[in-house]
Amino acid sequence: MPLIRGGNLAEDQWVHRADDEPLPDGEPVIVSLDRWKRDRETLLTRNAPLGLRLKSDQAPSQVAGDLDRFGVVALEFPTFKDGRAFSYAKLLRDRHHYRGEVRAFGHILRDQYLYLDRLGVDTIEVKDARQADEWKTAMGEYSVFYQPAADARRPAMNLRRKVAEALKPSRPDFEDLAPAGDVPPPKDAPPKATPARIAAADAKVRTFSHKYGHLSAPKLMAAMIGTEFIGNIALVSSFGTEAAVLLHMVSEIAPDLPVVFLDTQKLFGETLRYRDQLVGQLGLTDVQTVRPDPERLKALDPKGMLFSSRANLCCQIRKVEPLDRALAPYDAWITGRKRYQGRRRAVLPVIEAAEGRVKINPLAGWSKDLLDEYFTEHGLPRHPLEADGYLSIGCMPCTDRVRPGEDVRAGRWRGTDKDECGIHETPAAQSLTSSGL
Amino acid sequence: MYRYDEFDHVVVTERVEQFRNQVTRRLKGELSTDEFRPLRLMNGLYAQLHAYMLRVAIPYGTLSSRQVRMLAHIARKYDKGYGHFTTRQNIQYNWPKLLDVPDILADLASVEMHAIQTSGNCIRNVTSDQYAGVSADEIVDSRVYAEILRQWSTFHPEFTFLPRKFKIAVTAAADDRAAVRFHDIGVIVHKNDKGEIGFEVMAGGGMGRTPAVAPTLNKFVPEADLLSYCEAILRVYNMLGRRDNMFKARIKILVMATGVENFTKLVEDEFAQICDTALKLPDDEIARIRAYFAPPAYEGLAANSKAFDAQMLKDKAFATWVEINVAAHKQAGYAIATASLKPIGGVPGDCTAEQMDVIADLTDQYSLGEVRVTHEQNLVFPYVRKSDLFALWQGLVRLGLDNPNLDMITDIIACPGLDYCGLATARSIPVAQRLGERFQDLKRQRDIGELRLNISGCINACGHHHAGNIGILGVDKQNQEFYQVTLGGHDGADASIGEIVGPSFASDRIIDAVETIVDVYIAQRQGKERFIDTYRRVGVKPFKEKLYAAH
Repeated sequence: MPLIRGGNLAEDQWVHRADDEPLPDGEPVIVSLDRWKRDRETLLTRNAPLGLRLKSDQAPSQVAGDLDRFGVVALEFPTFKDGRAFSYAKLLRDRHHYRGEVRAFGHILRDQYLYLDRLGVDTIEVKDARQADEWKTAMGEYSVFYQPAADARRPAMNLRRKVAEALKPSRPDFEDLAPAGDVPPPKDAPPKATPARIAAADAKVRTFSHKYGHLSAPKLMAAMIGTEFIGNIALVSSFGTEAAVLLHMVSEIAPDLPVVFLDTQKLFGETLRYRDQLVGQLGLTDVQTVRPDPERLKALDPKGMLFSSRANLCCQIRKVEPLDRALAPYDAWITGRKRYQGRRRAVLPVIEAAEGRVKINPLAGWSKDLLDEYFTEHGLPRHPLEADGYLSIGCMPCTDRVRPGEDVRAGRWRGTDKDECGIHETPAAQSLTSSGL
Repeated sequence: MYRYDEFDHVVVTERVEQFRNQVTRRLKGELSTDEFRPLRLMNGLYAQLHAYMLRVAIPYGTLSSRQVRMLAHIARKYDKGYGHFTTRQNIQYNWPKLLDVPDILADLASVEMHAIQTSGNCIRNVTSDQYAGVSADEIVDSRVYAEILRQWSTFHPEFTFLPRKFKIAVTAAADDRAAVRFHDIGVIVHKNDKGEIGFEVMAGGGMGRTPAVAPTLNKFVPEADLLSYCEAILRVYNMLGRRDNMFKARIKILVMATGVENFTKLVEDEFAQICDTALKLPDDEIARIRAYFAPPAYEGLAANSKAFDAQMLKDKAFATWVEINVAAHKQAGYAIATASLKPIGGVPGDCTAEQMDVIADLTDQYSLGEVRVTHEQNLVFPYVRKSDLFALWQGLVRLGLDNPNLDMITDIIACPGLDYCGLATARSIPVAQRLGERFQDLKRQRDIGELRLNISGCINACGHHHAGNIGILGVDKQNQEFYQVTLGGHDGADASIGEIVGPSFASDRIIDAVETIVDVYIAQRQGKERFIDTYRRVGVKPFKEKLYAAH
């Protein structure tokens, strides 16, 4: 019979021998429990490896004391529906601490392979060597598991706890928080801003702060969109809990303003639906949904679990890089950040420069109450997750509810130093961090 | 309610792809009918009389309005425009095409739903109390533990090819609304003197041809050991349960054959070996799941609503509905309202796509976006402001789901029976419809009071007839439909199995027979005694005498 081990065809050194068959000298044989009981002493004097075959009504506990004498224990499946051997495999590993080969043979479906593997079965005798690929595929059909078994796969519960644990600031050396910088940027990344461009942006910020700094949010935006950066400015919106305010202002000033929305492909479904609802209701005509580069995902996050091992790198490829590409055509952009959101945002300027672009934060000084009033006054719909306790919403894996009394972004990368994804790593924010505040 | 995280999403998405592949292999002939059967069953797909039937899990009966809209969409797009809510908090579609099923599963996955393990010899959808989180008589929200069990049992590598199907129910209320003692494992949440949570765990209950009330194995399993204890029961059952005879393969037979004491010892011995392993539930994990079931943001309402009081006085039909179908809420100013899926002459548990859409709207408007499915095949709006009850009721009136018959004789539990099911020996639905018509007079129903009537179309007892105060079982006698009657079944905290009253009745006599039973009860009852209490006091004799007097 062809043998599958670890998803691949493997050589089988063992030979099944029936109870009445002679055992050739030196041949590694697998014998039945009956034969073992009958010929125990003779079998032990043979100078060759010995394996044991158990029927589906023969629990390994019957030979618990002798298990270390067998190089393989082969569990029979008279039909794939007889699941007793699943328990036997688990007990062999967990209860009897059997370290030899555990094998399954008989009527087994490839759809059972992963279960057997999880329970400590090493090899399967299959009917047809040509189907080896199918067995390999079956092995990879699932990547998340809920319960502990006899394998090294970590149950979802442990992964969830690991994510929480890894993000705790008490372990700053943990690789999860390593900067993304050691991974080379994508080949098609837009060029870095030139010193000249950076200087120009800084100069504009000084001029504009003086000229427009006193304006209300809508008036400031109108000036930027209609006078200073005609056709050269975009709004970046998360379509999060407060995004409707800026979007509503835009709809009254210039509904055709490009609105960049980063779909990291890890967002809540609610956010996507909320986006569609707002776009429809406000009549925005140029909302651009930007997604991560599939090649980049394939190379760096093939299983989609990067967030749990390297959160910064995950943000880098899912948010920072796509935004860099999306902003390439523009000299200025508008964000919805507010000072009341706390942490590094507490000192947010209304007009700032970043990477050679002017960055406008019209709502920087707005309080939560003011925002709420705006919602009410203009009949704007709320993000569906807000009522559920999510006050700041990013990607699903790294967003948690906010408890009463916490600041609104406490649910982002909860329990960690990390409080920004990287798209807003402005000089202002950096200086705040480096000054130790 | 529970919200899928990254990991849960991966599981259901991968499941859809796996099943898509299995369907392809089946169509290519790489899987035999026999090999495909368990695979499709574990995705809830049955081959029935006329078509495939897809059973979708509604874990512990909780649905968001968005999920209800998706159920409506599926009914419209892939089925004949309706679905059937079952006695185990599932919904069934009766006419899907095999090729469409992977797409249906993908649609379900998009709203965090699935059909995983709704059939097959594995651990089925974990059910719970439909009033969880809102009733005053509960210790905690039982859905926290139901969700923990749901995750643990999903694709359990060791327990997916059990001797037979395996059902688990959890309740945390004094009044058991989840029929836990009729389950393979029943779990009742308790709190001890020290304020610690623990579980009374029972095993070996069930319906079918050998009904059994589950005996208690352990009165207080510590909270952290829930999974270890269940795993111990399942392992003992997986290794020792009978596999030679499908009719004797359920755990109840093993418990009976081994004896409760011996069986308990086997479980406790196994538990002792595994209680300190990775199965132990960390406090933070329980807390994490509990956070999903935190109470919603209730408004600080007065206990009474003037508008509501006025509407009660003004509209008699509304007042009646409130008295019968509305239950007390633990939060002041709120109420729990039940929409009856048992309209007069209707099919118990059936719901059209149009009804589902409006239910979703009503849920959004009046119940904080959440609705529950009960094992009695009704729908519960768990968070209704008293002042909104009238508007909700008006909505239900327009849908024809306002029948004020909760827990009364026309609130019938019935399986699909021979109209759909390949196993049935008789029809259930027409009997339910005829009974509904016979007892439709509301005054008479109210006079009869609480009376649970359950109908099964065959011995498998999907209509829970053993647990009905009056149970009706369809049997086939020389190609004629006959109905056997049991009395005294009950599925509350004091669960009991009904006793067969005597020879079965032909289809044209069964309705009269029920009427006779009701008349005997009315004649025998003392004061405000419920049917079940009268029956327990007087026994089967007076009923028997009257029913078979003429013969």
